[in-house]
Amino acid sequence: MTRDCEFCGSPAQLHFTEVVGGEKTTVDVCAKCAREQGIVGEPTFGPLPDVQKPSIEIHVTTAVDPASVPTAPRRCPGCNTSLVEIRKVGRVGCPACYTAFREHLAPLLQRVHGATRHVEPASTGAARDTLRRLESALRRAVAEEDFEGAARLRDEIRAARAQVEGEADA
Amino acid sequence: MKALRDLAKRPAPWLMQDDAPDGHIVLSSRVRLARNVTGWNFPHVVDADHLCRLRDDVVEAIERTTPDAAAHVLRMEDLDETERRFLLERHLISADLVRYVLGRGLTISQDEDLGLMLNEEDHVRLQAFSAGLSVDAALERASRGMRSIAEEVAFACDDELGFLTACPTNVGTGLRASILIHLPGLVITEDAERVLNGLRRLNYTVRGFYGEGSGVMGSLFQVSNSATLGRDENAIVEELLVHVREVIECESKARQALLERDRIRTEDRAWRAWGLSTRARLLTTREAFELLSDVRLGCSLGILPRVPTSVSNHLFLCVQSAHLQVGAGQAMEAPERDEARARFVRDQLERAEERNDE
Repeated sequence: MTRDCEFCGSPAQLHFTEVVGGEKTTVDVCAKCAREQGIVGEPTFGPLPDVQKPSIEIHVTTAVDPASVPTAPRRCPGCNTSLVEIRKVGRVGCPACYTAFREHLAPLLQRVHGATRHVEPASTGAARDTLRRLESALRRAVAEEDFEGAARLRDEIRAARAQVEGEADA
Repeated sequence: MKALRDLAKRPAPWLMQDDAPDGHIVLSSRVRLARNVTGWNFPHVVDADHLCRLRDDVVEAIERTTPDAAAHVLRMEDLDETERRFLLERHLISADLVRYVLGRGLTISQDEDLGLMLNEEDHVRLQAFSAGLSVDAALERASRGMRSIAEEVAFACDDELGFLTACPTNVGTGLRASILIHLPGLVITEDAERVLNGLRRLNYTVRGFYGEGSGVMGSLFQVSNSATLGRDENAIVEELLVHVREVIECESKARQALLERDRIRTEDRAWRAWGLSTRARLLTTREAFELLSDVRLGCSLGILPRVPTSVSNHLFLCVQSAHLQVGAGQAMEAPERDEARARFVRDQLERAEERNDE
């Protein structure tokens, strides 16, 4: 059976079957894309097959517990998405994927954005959002006469404000 | 659905400004901000029940914090395919939301200058629309809307990477600024590919009217930034404006060249388009787009009777299949649509001509 590369549509030479905890994922890919997408790279699978050679099957069976794999985590601890799945759909599964697969995503970010870092500490923007959210919660608490909650929110607002101002100065 | 019929009957207000900046070449500007709610996986790995719950929670938060963005609240599963296509034609939703329905939603502001997709590729995708070349105004509108939503909804964010999105191509600002530009001069002088490839080399995306994977119709192109990380929102928009202005310059020169070097052929082309579009009894979408493109060009060169840009913009929108059907309140087969389309084009152009005579 001939299958097409999932990235470029040309005939696939590599067929991966990844089994993790009984769950199976398959990926068909040509040699070129395998290299470009970082699916195949030394030392895991050795040299790439000759393009002329008939297709080969590689079965990768990952241990049930991803934590026991000595290399980079093959599945995101946040959403259990594997790198293979990310390559396949072109999307990560959750915010934690960015940490779990940081070094795998960096070349992509560089290629698409010409950068691998946000322009300013995003925490400043996020802290500002947090501050606004707390202030709005405080208004609600006061309106609902929840004075205990309001007191707590006032403390949190003070801390958030210090963070915003501290980072703006830095 | 009544809300949609009301929308279909009136022009999209943001397309109807006759004195929009560079309005003879740029139809509209659009800014999209992508965000995801903290504590949730991205939509494509969340099941339908949870997607519905998340959507309803976010809609409630928007109704409290940003009521102006939620004049209409639509759940995709309540709409039929034609209605969803109608929203796609209006650029309010993506092709993904036509296909994937359950747990997906859309909120629209009264003036239709804000549209917020829920559980598309990201949990929240807020779009702001404005007329002509006015990306900065659209950015201002979108940022204001997003700031007010963020008063209640916490968005996933990372110190190093900025706002986190399902696709790594959107991380950082989550900002996609795009303009819808009409380049008949460059297409006729066969210079469009050269100019547009220049943009592509600068890391801009250039696509047809319907976006990803669509062909070019009516010499209409969408130009948008690809990079979202490493620069702030204003810098991204400023840079886009600089390059789009260069394209506008090229288009203006091409239009001038058509008049100076090939006047009779250019006039012939415009009058033929006028003749067909005011007399034809059947028009396919593609034919209507090509004719309207030539009419719009002929008007801007002063060859044809004046048709305000608001009318030609409105025509581009309303000759699309789902718009004709939702506007008529009934499903129509292709031949009926072609007839309704020809009638609509004829009426609009004749009315514009009558207004000139008054």
